[in-house]
Amino acid sequence: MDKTAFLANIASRLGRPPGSAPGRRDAIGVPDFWAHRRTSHEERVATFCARFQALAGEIVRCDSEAALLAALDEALKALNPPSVGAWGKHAPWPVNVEKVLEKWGARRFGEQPVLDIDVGITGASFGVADTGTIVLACGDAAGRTVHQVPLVHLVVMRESQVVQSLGDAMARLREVAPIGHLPAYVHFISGPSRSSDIENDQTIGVHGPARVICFLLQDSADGP
Amino acid sequence: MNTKSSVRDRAKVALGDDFLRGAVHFTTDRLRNRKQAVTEDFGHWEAWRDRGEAIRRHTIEHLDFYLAQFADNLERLGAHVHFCADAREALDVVTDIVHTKAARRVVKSKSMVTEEIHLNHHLEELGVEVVETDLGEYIVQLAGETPSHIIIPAIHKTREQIKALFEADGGENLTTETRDLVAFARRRLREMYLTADIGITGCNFAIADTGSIALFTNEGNADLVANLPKTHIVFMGMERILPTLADLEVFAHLLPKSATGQNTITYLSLITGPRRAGDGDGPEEMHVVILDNGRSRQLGDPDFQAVLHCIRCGACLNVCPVYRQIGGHAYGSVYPGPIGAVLSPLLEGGEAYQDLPYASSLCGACYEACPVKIPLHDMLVKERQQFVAKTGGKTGEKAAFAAYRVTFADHRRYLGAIRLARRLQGGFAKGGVIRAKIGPLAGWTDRRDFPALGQQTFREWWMERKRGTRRG
Repeated sequence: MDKTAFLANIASRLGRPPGSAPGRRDAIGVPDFWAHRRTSHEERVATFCARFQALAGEIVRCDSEAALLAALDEALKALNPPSVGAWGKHAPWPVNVEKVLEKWGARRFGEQPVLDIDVGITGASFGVADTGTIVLACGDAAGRTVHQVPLVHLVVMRESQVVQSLGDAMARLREVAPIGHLPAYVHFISGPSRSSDIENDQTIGVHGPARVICFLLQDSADGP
Repeated sequence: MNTKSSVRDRAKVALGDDFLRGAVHFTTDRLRNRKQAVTEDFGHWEAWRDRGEAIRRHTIEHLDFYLAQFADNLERLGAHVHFCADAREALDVVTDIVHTKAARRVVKSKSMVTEEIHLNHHLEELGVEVVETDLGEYIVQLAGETPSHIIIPAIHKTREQIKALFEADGGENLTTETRDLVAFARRRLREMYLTADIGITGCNFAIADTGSIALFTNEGNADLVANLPKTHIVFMGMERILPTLADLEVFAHLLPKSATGQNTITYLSLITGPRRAGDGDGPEEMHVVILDNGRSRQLGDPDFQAVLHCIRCGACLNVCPVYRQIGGHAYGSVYPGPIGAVLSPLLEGGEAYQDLPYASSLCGACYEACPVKIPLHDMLVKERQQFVAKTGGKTGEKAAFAAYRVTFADHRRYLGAIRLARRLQGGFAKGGVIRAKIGPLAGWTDRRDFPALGQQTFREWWMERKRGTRRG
């Protein structure tokens, strides 16, 4: 059916002039009590960590870049994966981890195939305290598949990237959206892939990663 | 489907299946209890429901505007938007895409709309292999069945049955351990994602002012379906719209909390058009199929427009005493439970599913559970009224209500009827109850005691008391 006729039918059923703009709307987004909460940097980070861990996500807090590089390297030693993949060099990495990626011969997105990697290493745009969520705005060298296909996802992030609510993250996404539109793909991830489809038995790692480990660098609310 | 049998016949079959009833009880109890816990912890639940209802109402009242805005934004980003009046038109769109792409294999994530238009059957007729990737849907598909719960489709399957199905699909040395079964599904379905020509998903919410599609899953399957194949087709009912990204936050809380009692969904994909220039992955081509299929008939109808506010969480199923007893298949429709009983006859618009509004106790638990406060129980009553107005009702029922009106409109006739009934019950009433399965009472006394009429009506007692007072 043609778009104009389809929309005209809806408008006529609603008794509206087709395409006329709605009047002012009172209820947009979350209720005021939710939007107007004020939290400190420390509270946000603590809530984010607690919520993310409650969803079976893992957090490694690091007090310096050197400590984060060491922790990432340790984790890879423990996993000892046959193949490692990572975002490309020009992706928006919150922390420079090139040294570790080089050491482990990580396949770089955009240069080498990543569809069969065992461990995927990425940055993130935001952490969300309310829901224990990491937000990955994908595009260019920040490929979508790097964190979607492997069994283990390692993500590096700074504490200053943790916001209170999903709404805060969405508002920030809109602010930075290039030429007025969002990236083609934004992924909100709250812990490992899970299912209860077999006799209600909770299990992880169905399609996405079975482990998500977040390396969180301490910094102030003002960011790097 | 199932147009020949009635919900009563199908319910009888379901009531005889002990595993099914046990599984449905267990699952619905679990989901309901978790929902209660998570909403208490979250707080202000009624305020969130009010907000959800207000946003949905506003959106549907201005649906033409928001749909146009959504479609314009998406088209600007290079996606193809198709408006389809009915299932036939939607299937024709898919046929064209399949032919243009010479597609052989399609991977799908859960979408009730595609069930509604019987998409899988159509694709198979075109010679295309369709693979459902949601673990529950995959199990149901291997069994050649349909989902029995909106959120947990394979609620009715045992792990032994699942193991047998996976073995028939090529699984070797499987045990009935969940880990083993899931590991097999992961391997098997991964091959499918990587070799599929087209990925088909539903759409939980479409955001008008950004032209985005929001997909919610716990398994992460929709995210792979949307991103790995070269072509992504989204199916959405035309009412799935939200005006702004800010509104999505409300529903990112309402949906998972209501559906499974989770504080948050594991994966939320926000997709805004096909891959951009410079993106190294993601679909090259994106189609969005927007379906009416009986929905626009509800617009402007003060009794039923609110049914389009539904966000398909399934919370009404989990609290429904009827669903609890008979499970999803007994409804015989794509949408089961209270929302299915309301929606199925409305979308169909014909004679089919007219018996579903009667498969309810009208207790209103569905309304209490609904995150956007749809008055489902009122709608069920109105559908019954419409049905009776259209068909004239049953002769016996009409006669009974005519007699009821005559008897209860006059206190002498009422008292006479009570006295007659008291005399007639004499032989059957024992210890204050009637157990005999006689006449129209048998439907009740078959399983329960019927309370016998007292020795005295309230009126008689009152008159006697008054006389006594006067004497004393």
